[in-house]
Amino acid sequence: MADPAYRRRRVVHTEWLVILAGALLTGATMLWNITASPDTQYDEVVYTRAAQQVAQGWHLTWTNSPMFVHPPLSFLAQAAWLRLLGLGSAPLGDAIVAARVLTAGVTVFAVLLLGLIAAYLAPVAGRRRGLLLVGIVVALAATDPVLLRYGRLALIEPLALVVALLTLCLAIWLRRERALIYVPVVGLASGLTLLTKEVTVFLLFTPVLHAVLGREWRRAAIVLGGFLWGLGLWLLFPLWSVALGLTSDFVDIKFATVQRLLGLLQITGWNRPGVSFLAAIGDQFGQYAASYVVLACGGIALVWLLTRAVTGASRWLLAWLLTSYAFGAYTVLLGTLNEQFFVYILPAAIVGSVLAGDAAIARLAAGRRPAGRRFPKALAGAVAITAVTVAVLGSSLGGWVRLYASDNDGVFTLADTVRSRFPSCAALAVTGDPDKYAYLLPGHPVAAFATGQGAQSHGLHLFVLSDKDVAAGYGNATKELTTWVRARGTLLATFTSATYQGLQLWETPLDPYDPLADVEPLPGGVFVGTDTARCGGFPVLDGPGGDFATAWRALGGKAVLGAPMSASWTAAGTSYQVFTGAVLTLDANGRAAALPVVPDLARTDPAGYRAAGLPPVSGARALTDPAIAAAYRQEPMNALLGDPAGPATPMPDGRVRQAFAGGVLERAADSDRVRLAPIGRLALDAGLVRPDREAADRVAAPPLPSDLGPPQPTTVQPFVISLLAGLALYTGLPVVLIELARLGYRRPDRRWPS
Amino acid sequence: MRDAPLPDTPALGAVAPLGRRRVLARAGLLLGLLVLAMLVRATGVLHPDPGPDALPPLPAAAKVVPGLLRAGAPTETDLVLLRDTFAVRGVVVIGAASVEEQAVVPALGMRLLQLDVAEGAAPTAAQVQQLDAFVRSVRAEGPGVVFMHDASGTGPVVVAAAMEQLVAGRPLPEVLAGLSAAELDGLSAAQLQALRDAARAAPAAGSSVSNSTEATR
Repeated sequence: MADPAYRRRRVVHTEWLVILAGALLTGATMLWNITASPDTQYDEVVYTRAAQQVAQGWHLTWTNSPMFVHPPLSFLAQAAWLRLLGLGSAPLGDAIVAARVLTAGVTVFAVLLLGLIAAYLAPVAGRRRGLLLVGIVVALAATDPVLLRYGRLALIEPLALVVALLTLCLAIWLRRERALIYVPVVGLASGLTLLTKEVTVFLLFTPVLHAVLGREWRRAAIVLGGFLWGLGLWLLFPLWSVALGLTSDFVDIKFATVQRLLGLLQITGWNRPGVSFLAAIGDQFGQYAASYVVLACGGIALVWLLTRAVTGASRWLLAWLLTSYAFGAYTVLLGTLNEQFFVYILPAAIVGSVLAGDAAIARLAAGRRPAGRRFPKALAGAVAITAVTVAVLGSSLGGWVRLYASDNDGVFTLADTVRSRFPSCAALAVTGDPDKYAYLLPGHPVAAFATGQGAQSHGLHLFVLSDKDVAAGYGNATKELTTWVRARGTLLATFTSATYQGLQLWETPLDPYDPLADVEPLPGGVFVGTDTARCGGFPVLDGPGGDFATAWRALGGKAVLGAPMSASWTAAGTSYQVFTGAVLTLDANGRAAALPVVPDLARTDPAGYRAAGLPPVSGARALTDPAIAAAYRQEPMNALLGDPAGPATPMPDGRVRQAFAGGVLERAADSDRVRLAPIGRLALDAGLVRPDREAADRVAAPPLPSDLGPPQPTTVQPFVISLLAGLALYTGLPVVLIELARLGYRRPDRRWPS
Repeated sequence: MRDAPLPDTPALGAVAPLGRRRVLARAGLLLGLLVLAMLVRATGVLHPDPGPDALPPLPAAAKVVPGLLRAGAPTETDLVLLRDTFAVRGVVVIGAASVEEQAVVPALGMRLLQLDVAEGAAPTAAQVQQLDAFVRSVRAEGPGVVFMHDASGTGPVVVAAAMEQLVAGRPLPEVLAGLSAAELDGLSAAQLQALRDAARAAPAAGSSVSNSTEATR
């Protein structure tokens, strides 16, 4: 017989081995290739940005308003982590990867905690069976597609899950402790959970429900006290808004959050109008099949436990499944159905599935045992349940290899490409949310538009397209946008991204004559962009140098005269501005004319003139083309252009052109729309006009329209100070109370003898 | 090797079955809650249908006559919403349309009409006729609504809308009574005079939108 001390040591070693194996497995599935998969998303980018802002200067924001949607604790944790690594002001991409390491590491702990809870809930299992069940729970959690999806991202979920599970663990562990111990400990954990993410509140009700299910009203009062004690700590969050003087903003945001949770307001998730939950489930089936199976098994476990008289561990499991599935059912049927909410439901589903599977095998084994037979039903049941478990694990691991072992970093790669190929001022129009690109590409203006024409009207010609964004209704982009861009533009690059089902970078051409593109209003005129990156252009203004904006508009604006090629300048009493189609001059009386540069161009650089496809300046000068003649005779075009300098001539490119002193009128062969052919660049290159330096230099484009409100105070320091004080109170007060209680016990009885 | 017997007690501990009545009661409660939730979802109690009289979420939004709405200037996203949720098929800009709007409205498959009316002025009779013809033309193409706006929703679009109501046969006092105090205060003397003139001329013009829109009431 083995030495009992040796056996105890072996038991301890085996348990540590299971913990180590669980940590290694979860660490591998969560951290492997974390720099390149999954592709980043809006929440991850802006949350990490907010954490960096906190690390740099205590500002909890990524806009110019404080972050009130979620509590500050997870951001503070991420900020501390980034500060520790010296990445507080690192490029955002690096900070995101570092933050992912923190959250993935935290997820490892969450999975181990889940194993611990499973061990708590299997008190009759015995050592080997208990370790086996814990191992299965950990393996299922470590490979679960939903937990992997969100455990590998720098989001709030991993941090919220770990504190929620810790709270549950403590509640189970201290289930028999008196209020003086239970309330401060579980209350503190509950408070920290609520300060990480409020939606976990349903999990915090598990101990209350456990007591209610057992009709232990006194216990229910104690655990409710623990919850309320935690709620008290959460009040530091609204207190922060009071300290910032933004209470009404906080109330508005929280009111909207509650409305969203209740489903009264649907702005995100699969219950939005026009988004089909079933279609979304179908679309995601390939990725989340294993999670769906586990959720279904957890549901079966819940129904099974509802038909049983539950006590002890089974009552805890029932309470946990009830709170989790009640939240899940409400969310699916009525509330805001965000995919990441399943992170909070799956732990109960996994533990419930495993323990219900174990109970099913036990039930079959406890059935009738015909003499001489080896429990065929039980064995068959065990084989079936093992087969389901293996299938779920196999599907999960297959999905892991497919999604996380290969690169899935389209957004990061696209950002690198934009940085390397375009100037830092290059502007992008994107499908989906623009902020993730904007923060990854500091300096680059990024905006979301519903239509390609809308984007181009503001001078944006570089488009990032994701069909998934459009189909799922993320961002403003419509189907018309992607169709239009692909019909007109050039595909510059494609980027592998399983998350976005591929990303594409497109460029649409610049048309200097398009009146509905590249024009931004300015006081006294407009700014016209002159490149596809929206890096610069020239203003056309009414001002001291002359009313060029008025003259330009009167002559037909961009559609006729084209885009400006310089700003205006004044020399010898005359003001000039070069446009694509003419060099416009304004005399001291404001009379507009086109500088008669066409004959000079033909004379000084005949080869260049011909190469530009411009018509002859000799021969008959009659107005033989009716459309050109009509356009020329229209006021003020004839006064502007001067006399004809040559005949109307069909050119090899299919256009008909006629030269005048100040410009060349042209029309397409099949159109009566007449405009001034491009001669501005030739005139500049030939030195026929020399804008002064200020007029020749392009100016930066005006900022894109923004919906940012006025700046608000965003410092999170008041919250941190109050949190430290709160923590001191929450840990110190119970100690004082316990000591007082002890003193009370020791106090001699001073009552008078009766 | 000896067979290791499978455990016959759940790891959770013994879980005895409940009595039939309690099981039925719990199943009934669970089913009842699920059915209730599905009924709430199916009936749309949480998201009541705004109905045909719903107005777009834009500043100073108002219904002018059936098939014609007015408000302040929409953004590009608003234009998508107007098209997809309010069945807007035509947009009338009272004043200067932005370049973006000129580009976006046709891109979204809607028609655009610009009426050059200065701030503080009223549309001319010809412009009202143009507006009227546009509304009729859009609505003749199929079911849909025309959306009319100026920069703020409280400028000349109020006068243009009032004129449309006069053309539709409503008396001037009723039209003015339909305006808010702020809108009334915002009317210039020239605009009020234009409305009086339009009211006098209205019976002669009252055959256009009024006929087409009354039919849809």
